[in-house]
Amino acid sequence: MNRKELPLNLDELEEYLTEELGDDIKEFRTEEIEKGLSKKYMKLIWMRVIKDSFRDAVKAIADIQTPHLSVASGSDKGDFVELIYHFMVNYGFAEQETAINLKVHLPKDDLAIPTITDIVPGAITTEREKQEFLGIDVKDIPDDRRMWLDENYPEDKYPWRWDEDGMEDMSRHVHEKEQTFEEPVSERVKKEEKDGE
Amino acid sequence: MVKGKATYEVPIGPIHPALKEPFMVNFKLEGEKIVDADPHPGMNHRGIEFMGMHRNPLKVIPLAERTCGICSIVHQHMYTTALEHAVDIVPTERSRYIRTIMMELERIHSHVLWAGVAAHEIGFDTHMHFTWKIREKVMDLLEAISGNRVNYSMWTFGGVRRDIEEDMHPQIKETLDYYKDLYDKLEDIFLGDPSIRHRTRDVGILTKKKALELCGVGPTVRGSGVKKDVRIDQPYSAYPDLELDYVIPSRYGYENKGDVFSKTLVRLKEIIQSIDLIEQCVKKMPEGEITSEPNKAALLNKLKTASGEGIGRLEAPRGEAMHYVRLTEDNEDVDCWKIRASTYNNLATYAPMFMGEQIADIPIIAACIDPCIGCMDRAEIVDIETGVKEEYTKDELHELSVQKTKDLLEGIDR
Amino acid sequence: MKLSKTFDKSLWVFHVNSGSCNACDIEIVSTVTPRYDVERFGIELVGTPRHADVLLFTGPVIKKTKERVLRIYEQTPDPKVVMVIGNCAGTTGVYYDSYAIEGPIDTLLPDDAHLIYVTGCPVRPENIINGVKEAWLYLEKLRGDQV
Repeated sequence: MNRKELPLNLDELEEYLTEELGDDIKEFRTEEIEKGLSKKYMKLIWMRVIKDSFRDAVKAIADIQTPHLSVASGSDKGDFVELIYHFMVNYGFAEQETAINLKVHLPKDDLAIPTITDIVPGAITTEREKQEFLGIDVKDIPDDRRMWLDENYPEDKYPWRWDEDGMEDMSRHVHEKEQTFEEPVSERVKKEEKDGE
Repeated sequence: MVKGKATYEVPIGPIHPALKEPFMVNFKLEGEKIVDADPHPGMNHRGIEFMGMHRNPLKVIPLAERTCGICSIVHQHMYTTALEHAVDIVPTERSRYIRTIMMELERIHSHVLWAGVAAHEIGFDTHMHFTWKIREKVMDLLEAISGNRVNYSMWTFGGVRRDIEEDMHPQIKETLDYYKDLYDKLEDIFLGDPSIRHRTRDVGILTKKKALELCGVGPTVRGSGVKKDVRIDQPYSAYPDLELDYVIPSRYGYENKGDVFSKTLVRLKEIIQSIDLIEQCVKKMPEGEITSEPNKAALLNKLKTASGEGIGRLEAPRGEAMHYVRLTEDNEDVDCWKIRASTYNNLATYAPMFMGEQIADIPIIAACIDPCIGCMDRAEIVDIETGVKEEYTKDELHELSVQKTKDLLEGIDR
Repeated sequence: MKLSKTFDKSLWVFHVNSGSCNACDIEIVSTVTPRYDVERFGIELVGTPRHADVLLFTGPVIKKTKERVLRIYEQTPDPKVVMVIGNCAGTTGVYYDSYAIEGPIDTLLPDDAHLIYVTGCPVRPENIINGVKEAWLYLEKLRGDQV
């Protein structure tokens, strides 16, 4: 890529990303939110790419500037799992930082996605988390050990899934627990009972 | 006995009172030298996101606040702004200024707290008690404004729940003046003292390249000269109207080395920056309502069928953090909620910082990303080849660190 | 062994975080630092449960720390007092329906454990000092008893 002068504004970013990825982009929208009394804007891009060109999209973003990967969020949407990688570019320039929210849909029967740790080494924590919490199979991940959950948890249960692989049945519901203490009985009731006998 | 170089494994932790990511760190050692560090978080995993996805959006605010007690404002701010973004609620102008004042006050309390922890880790308990004493002043102000010392419950959709009235301004001014007067003393202790300098200079170095690659955030990477600060890059609340600049060591005539000293410098300078920002806020604060959604029942009814997705970001005392929230029409509860706290990203920066350092430096390096206190609960040495176990308690590790300071002091020309 | 008179005047305290949000923990540290300063009463935070007379538990017990919490309780020598710090330690608080929560601490400890509840979310330092007073009163009663 011929490296452009930073920072890129929203139109330039849109032009660049559509040029690099073409028809692989399925959804694309930009957003500007007004902030403060002095009318400055927070800039966001929401885009979804097809699963096969996910790595190309990450590479394209990484070509702009060493990307800041905030986190990857994910959710169970029934037939598929949606992952959103929140990248930040244009940091270091006042009021220019743009969030690129890169979505990718993974069908339930093939929950695999290639790793991006070779492009963004800082992605390792969030990739490990996605494996553990959504049951995503991250291909070629350098470190696939469990991170957050207890070692005694079943290997095929994932907290953020809503289907039969979820953890609904494992929550404790402490507030619904049976009360074990005896009901306090007032002196009056005791006396009445005694009199009854 | 083992001949030649034996590699030892030292697990340190695990009980550590941090955010969502308390951790133990597994060290590989050759003699005194650390050759590998591998963090293991999860000892404090409470499943907050899971619980949030089973509750309605209003009930999630107190839950979000209880993600972390030290940065309670951080999480409630991100959650409310993310939801405001998702369903297009615009917070009132006055509330943005109140939010900013609260966030900067929290930054002061967090950085002063960190300075105390750092001093404790290298064996200066006098300084620790000194910083915790001066921290109480800002806690008093926070209590006067919000009614509680920790977990302020100030935020709501569209604004805040308590106003900062005119009669509170003298107390704010008095508190800020108190810190201005003491600041020189703080800087003298942490930047001028030769023994602290010996323990922090060239220790735990994070290069600029590594900092960028590993997506580190906050003072941890600003110490390496990386210009990342959400308050400037993507300003929120009242920050677009305020004047501020990136706090990096080179701005003050120091080298952007990325060692513990640089991180200390950045944190101390941010205290002064926060004081300045609060003064600007108090001066510029507009009149008006404090919340744009006073009717909670109507709001909840609206949120039940609302749909949309949004992100909320901010510069927490420990660095950038963000929340992602999505609501859908057919789900009354929050449909998707992701919390990302600052230490989550800084976790990966541990490995390069620990590499080649000594056991006695573990406490101060572990503390330098500000992961909150007390991670050195228990350390155990396992000799891989012989399987012999030795135990290091938190106290013994602390002793080692203190001893190193003493040794260094003997060599210093005072 | 008989408890001496000096025992309950110098309580040593060990702090266990069994999964709390950190708020109670910083308030505990506030309690031992200059403003509230319980150290003037001979109370000290120690680094190992084997030296402690009082255990402070903060936060709901999560599954991953359950074993560790029970081990710490067993390691503490008798007589001991357990202070349950904060609402979530006593009732699990806002974390009532999580998959990761084992339950409040009082459901896990043996029946003969002496518990002192310090409430608040988070607790206030004054309330912690009040809890320490309760611990004193309990240990004072034991003075002269066989343990």
